[in-house]
Order: sequence, then C-alpha cells, then structure tokens
Amino acid sequence: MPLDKNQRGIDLLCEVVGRRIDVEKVFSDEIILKKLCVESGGHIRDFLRLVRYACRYSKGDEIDENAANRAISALSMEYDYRVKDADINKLVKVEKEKRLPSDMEYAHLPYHLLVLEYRTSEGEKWASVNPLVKRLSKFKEAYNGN
Amino acid sequence: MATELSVKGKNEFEDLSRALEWSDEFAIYFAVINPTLIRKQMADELKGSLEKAKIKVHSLELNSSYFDLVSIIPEKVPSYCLRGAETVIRSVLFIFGAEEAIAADVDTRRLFFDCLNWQRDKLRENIACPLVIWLPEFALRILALEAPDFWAWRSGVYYLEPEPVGTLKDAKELLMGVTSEYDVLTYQEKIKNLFC
Repeated sequence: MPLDKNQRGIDLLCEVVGRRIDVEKVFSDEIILKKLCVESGGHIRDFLRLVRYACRYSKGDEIDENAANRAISALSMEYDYRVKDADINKLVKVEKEKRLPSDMEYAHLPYHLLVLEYRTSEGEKWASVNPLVKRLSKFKEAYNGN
Repeated sequence: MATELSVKGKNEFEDLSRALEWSDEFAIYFAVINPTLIRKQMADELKGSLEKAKIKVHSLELNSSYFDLVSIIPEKVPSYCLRGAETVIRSVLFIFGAEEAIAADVDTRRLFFDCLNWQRDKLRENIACPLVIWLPEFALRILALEAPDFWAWRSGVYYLEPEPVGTLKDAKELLMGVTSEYDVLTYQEKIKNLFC
C-alpha cells in the first residue's frame, strides 16, 4: 500500500461524524467532510475539532467549502504555537524520509502531534508531518528551501 | 456590542458569546486579547451579554502565587458552577491572570503548567460549566507548548483583536506626556506589566 491516503480509514472517520449528525444535511457536499478528515491527518480529536470549527465559521445552514477552509486555517494557526524554530529542520527531515528517527531529539514531535505515525497494511511504520503543520509558511519555506 | 474591537475581533466575540450560550457542560475556551484594559472591558461586555441570556458569570483572578485551580475552585467558586449542585443554574467561569504565573520565574511557571496538565481530569470532574481563560497571545503560545495535555482539551480559541486605531490612541496619549499610573512603577514592575 502506498504511503498515502487510506480510503478505509477516511470512511471510518467520516462514519464517526455520520453517526452523530446527518452529513447530507449539515455539509453542502460530502467531499468537504472528507477534506476535513484528510487535513486532520486521521487524528480523531483534531478531526472533530475541525468539524466543530467549520460549524463556527459557517454562515448559513450548511457547512460549505469556505467554512471548512477557515476551520483548517484556524487550526493550522493553533499548531503554529507548537512549532519551535529549532524543530523546523527536524520536521523537514521527517517529511522527506517519511520516518521518525529513533532519537530523543525527535521524541517530542509525535507527542505534540507535529508528526503523525501510521502503519501500512503490511504493518510497517511510517511517519509524516501533520497536514495542519505542513500548511505553515515556516514549514513550507524550509521544506522547499532544503 | 464590543466597540473597541476590529471587525474580525467583533466576529470572534460574537462567536464566543454564541458558543457559551450553547454550551452547558465543562469546556475550555481561550479568549486572546493583548491590551489588559480592553481584555477586562471585553470580559465585562461578554458577562453582560451572557447575563441577559440568564447565564451567570463568575470570575477568578490568578497570579504568580495563586494558580492551583483544583485547590482554589472549591473555595472561591459558587456551588452552581460545580457538579452535584442542588440547584442547576447555567453558568460560565472566567479565569484571568494566567499570564502572571506564566511570566513568573521558571519554577513557578513549571508548577503552573504541571497543575494544568495533571489536574485536567480533576477540573472536569469538579466543574460543571464552561471555562473562559482570558490571556494575551504570548501566554497562549507558551501554554500551548508547555501544557499540551490541557491545551489538547480546548474547545475553541477566540482572538479578540482590538481596533488598531484605539491602540494607537492609547499609545499617543502615553507619548504626549500625560501622567500615567505607570510613571510611579519601578523598572521591574514595568517589565512585569509588559507581560500583562
């Protein structure tokens, strides 16, 4: 399985929301819910937080793309607080190598959810920078500059 | 309505007000606003608007030696904010002064963050209403880093940005040599005020 989006995982997370609300009524398009799911990196608390923030930013009766984008942007900015300058190069390394080095200097990255760890269907571990952190300009600049 | 806030700040103020009107359980909200005076003014406005909606507001003031919420709450918070109260009254708890504990010495700061992290579950067990923690952005930034467990439970962060014109007016008055309460402060007190 490629180190990419896991459709079964996305469907399961969307089901978590679907059991609580009528997705067709609340979201103008079901794809928006999937987008929030992908941007959460599969972290359920952040996923539900994104849905909550999207409710907060929606202007009408439905959550539209604009509200979802504002929610993603707001949560991404909250992650900005947790990314120290000293961590930027470590994050770039994790993202390029798709693995978390076994080193104490990197141990706080998954703890602060700056890096998320996954397993392939064969059980192999891999890691990626949280999608909400990837949106930060300080990460993007370092990633593209390195 | 908040008159000293920017358009974005006003929207966030309304969002926070709505969130609190809809929330009748323990939840953690952060209201971020830098100038101390406007922070207090906005808190008063929010209190007024919540009280119109029949929601009682109680305020707690923390400082660098008084920040252990689990010890403070049973003494200082009315029973209607706590679980198991005989009479159910909708309420909200405002908390001020976290920045004082954060701007204190390293040991105090560590202790404050340890309290927040370790007592997170205890707070939820004791408090039946939403908390609004009012603080400046520098304090929020440090709290997000140093108290990750507490931070993870936040229900929302609201940035009540003041109107820049108001901030400029205040600064201008200070620069025009108008006598200020700050004139009598010592250097150390002025530094401390910078963080508040």
